[in-house]
Amino acid sequence: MNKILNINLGGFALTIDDDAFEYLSSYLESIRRRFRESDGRDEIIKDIETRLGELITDNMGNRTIVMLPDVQAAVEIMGKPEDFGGEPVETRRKQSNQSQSSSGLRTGKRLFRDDEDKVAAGVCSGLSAYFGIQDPVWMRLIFVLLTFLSAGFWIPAYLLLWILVPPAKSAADRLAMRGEPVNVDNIAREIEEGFDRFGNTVSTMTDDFKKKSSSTGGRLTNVLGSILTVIGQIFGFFIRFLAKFGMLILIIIGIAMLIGLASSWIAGLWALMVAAPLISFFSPFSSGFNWFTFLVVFLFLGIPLVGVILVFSKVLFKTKPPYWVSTSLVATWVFSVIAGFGLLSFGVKGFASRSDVDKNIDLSGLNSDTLRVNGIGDGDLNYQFDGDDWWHDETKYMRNGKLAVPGEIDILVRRSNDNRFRIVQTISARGSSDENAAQNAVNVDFDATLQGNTLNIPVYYSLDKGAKWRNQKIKLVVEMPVGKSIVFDEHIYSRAKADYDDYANNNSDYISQSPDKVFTMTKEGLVCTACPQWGDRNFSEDHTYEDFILDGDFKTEIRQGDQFEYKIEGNDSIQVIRTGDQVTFTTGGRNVSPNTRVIIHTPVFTKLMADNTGEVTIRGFDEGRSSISARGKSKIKGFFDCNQLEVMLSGPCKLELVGSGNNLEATLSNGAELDALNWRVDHIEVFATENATARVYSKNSYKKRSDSSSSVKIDGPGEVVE
Amino acid sequence: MDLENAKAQMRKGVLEMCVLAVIGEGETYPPQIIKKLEGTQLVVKEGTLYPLLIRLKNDGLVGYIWREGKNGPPRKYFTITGEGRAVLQGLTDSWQDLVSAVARTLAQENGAPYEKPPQALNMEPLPPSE
Repeated sequence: MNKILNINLGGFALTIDDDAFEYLSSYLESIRRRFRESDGRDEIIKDIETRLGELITDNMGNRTIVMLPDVQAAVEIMGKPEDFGGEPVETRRKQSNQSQSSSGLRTGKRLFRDDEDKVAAGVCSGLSAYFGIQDPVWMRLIFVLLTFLSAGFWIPAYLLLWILVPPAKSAADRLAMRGEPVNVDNIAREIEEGFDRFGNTVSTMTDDFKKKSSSTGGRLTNVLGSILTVIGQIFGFFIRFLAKFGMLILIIIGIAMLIGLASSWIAGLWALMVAAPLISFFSPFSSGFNWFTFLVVFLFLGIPLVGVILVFSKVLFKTKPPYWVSTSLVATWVFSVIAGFGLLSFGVKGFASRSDVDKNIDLSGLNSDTLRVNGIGDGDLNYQFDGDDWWHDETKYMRNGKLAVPGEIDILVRRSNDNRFRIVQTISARGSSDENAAQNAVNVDFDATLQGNTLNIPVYYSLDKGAKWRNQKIKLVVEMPVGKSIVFDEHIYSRAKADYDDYANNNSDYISQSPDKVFTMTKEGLVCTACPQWGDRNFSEDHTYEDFILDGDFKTEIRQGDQFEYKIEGNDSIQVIRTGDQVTFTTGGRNVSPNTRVIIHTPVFTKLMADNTGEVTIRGFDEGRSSISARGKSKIKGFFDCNQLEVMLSGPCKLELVGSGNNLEATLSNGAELDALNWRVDHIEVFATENATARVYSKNSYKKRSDSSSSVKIDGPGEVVE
Repeated sequence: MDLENAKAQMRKGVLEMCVLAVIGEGETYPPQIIKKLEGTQLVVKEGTLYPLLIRLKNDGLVGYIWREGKNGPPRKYFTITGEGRAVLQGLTDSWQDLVSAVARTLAQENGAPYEKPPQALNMEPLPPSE
């Protein structure tokens, strides 16, 4: 038993069996879909329905209920939608073929250049037609903007598109160029239709349900069907939204990558071109080969870039570059790789052999213990890159008609084994064979000459113009016997060095850092006898040094001044060591000439230690508490005031004091002499031993101790206290 | 090239003309048109006819009138219009030319001597109907 329905089919009232109704419904639905796009769709459908009704009715005879075979027969006569000839079917099928064959974007469009609407090559109009933008002006604007933003690097991309994108020739091309208008809606529509179909299927399913279950259950599933359709529509909307942005994002990413790649490629090219003039010097090849190498590198780097652009345009625009383009690109790249390898091995050959040429530099003319080494020649060779020097100016690197190469000179100072002062010069070069290498070494123009006590070393070596770089190097080994000294001037000192072992242990000065400083070879190694720590002969600092140590036979003057500064007069250097509040002036045990004088200005003077110095004069202070000690043969004269003064003298030194204070405490020994008769103090304490002598003046009181060999004389009204 | 598709294309080209011709013979409705076409070996499904007829009507080449149906709603009976006749004439002439040209081409391809083209498919210039 089956359910029946009463329907109106195109004006015919039919009582139809349930199964037959199903069949009829889905047939009519397929008809509806078939003619959805056609003009006069409603009329067509109505006519077909009427005809169907007629067909069925005619076959009924006396029967009242339409059964499935009746419907099937009618449908057979009418024909199924796919059997229909006529244009709508053809074009629909073709349209759907197009949509299905294209990937992702489902637009059936192809990118062409629009030759009829072009400013340069129609690239922009083609692109804007593709995207469904009516006015190509926007695309052109974007292109110009991109060109500016990427500083011109965008132009090769445009040229690439010009080459790769074919012009729209036939009418079919022009149609494909425009395709369906802005694609996103098509995507959304497809999705909506999909959900429509889904919704319909569900409704039919729910009708199934309806007849198989109770009525309430049927109602529920009907509701379910409607809900699903609504969901489908919402979904469709979202997809449309996302798809719009997705496309945009894809395009932006693609463009950004393109710009990045193009810029880096062009920048690389630029750098290569700029370095090209130097390439001819450094390259193993003659100039013809140079250009070839350049081309090989260009291809090696550039072709992968082009490949990426092609891939991109294929994905985005579905352009397919002609077969010959892809194969020739690959072939060229492979060729460039092979050529690169060939060039590399060929080039390396030029450096295969090495040759050294030795020469002894004659130092017999040296009649001083100190060898001065000067760097000569205009070392201001600017191999660096000037801002506006895009193409190098060859004259910059030429001196006297020859190519000047700086920086390849090394000087090594060593201790001599056989007590002979000598210099060995070695010029080394590479070449493709031993003879070639030797020739290259001989061709190096370098002349270190001794003039009096000065060795003149050029700061660069010269090559004939057109000669090639073959790693030519120059090495000078200086062998110094103990007792000799060497000084490097400011032009050459940075090229000189000594092995670590050749430095005396306690020396933290290195030749390569100390221009114009005398280094003496001693038994322990090289010592810089006069390397001041900071500054030089003149120095001042806004720091208070109170503690002074003078070590060595030189004259010193210490005056009160607002800021600490010192000056060293005379030819010889005094080593100055500053630590905390203490400054040490020392000759380091050397003899210095008698006219060496240290003049110190300092705000505060708290402590003085004089160790075998020459005459020291202290003037102008007014201290609270100070101390003076002296050793050896020092001579000190002090003209200042000090409240609490402490004096320690040992050895045949002499201290003369003129001034005043409160307290004086003096300890003398070993032949020391203190003359403080003009030092007026309140209280004096004196201890003298071992032939020491003291003459003092006390205002108030005094204490004294002395042994039998010493003598202490107290002047003034002071009274003794014990 | 799909053979079926090609054949369909060819038939599609002539169908319009044939249908117009049948209607030109006299007022008729779809099943009758089908019958007449079947009679001349041009088999076509009814469903194909409807969209075509509607198009012809929309283009003004045919019109229709309502007549009583047998037992049911009224039927559409199609008639040819003056413009329809003109188009039909043009199509027929073009068809004659086409047939000659194609026959010549095929004949030359096959190496057969030139022959007078066979009779066209039941297409005679029709007298104007009332």
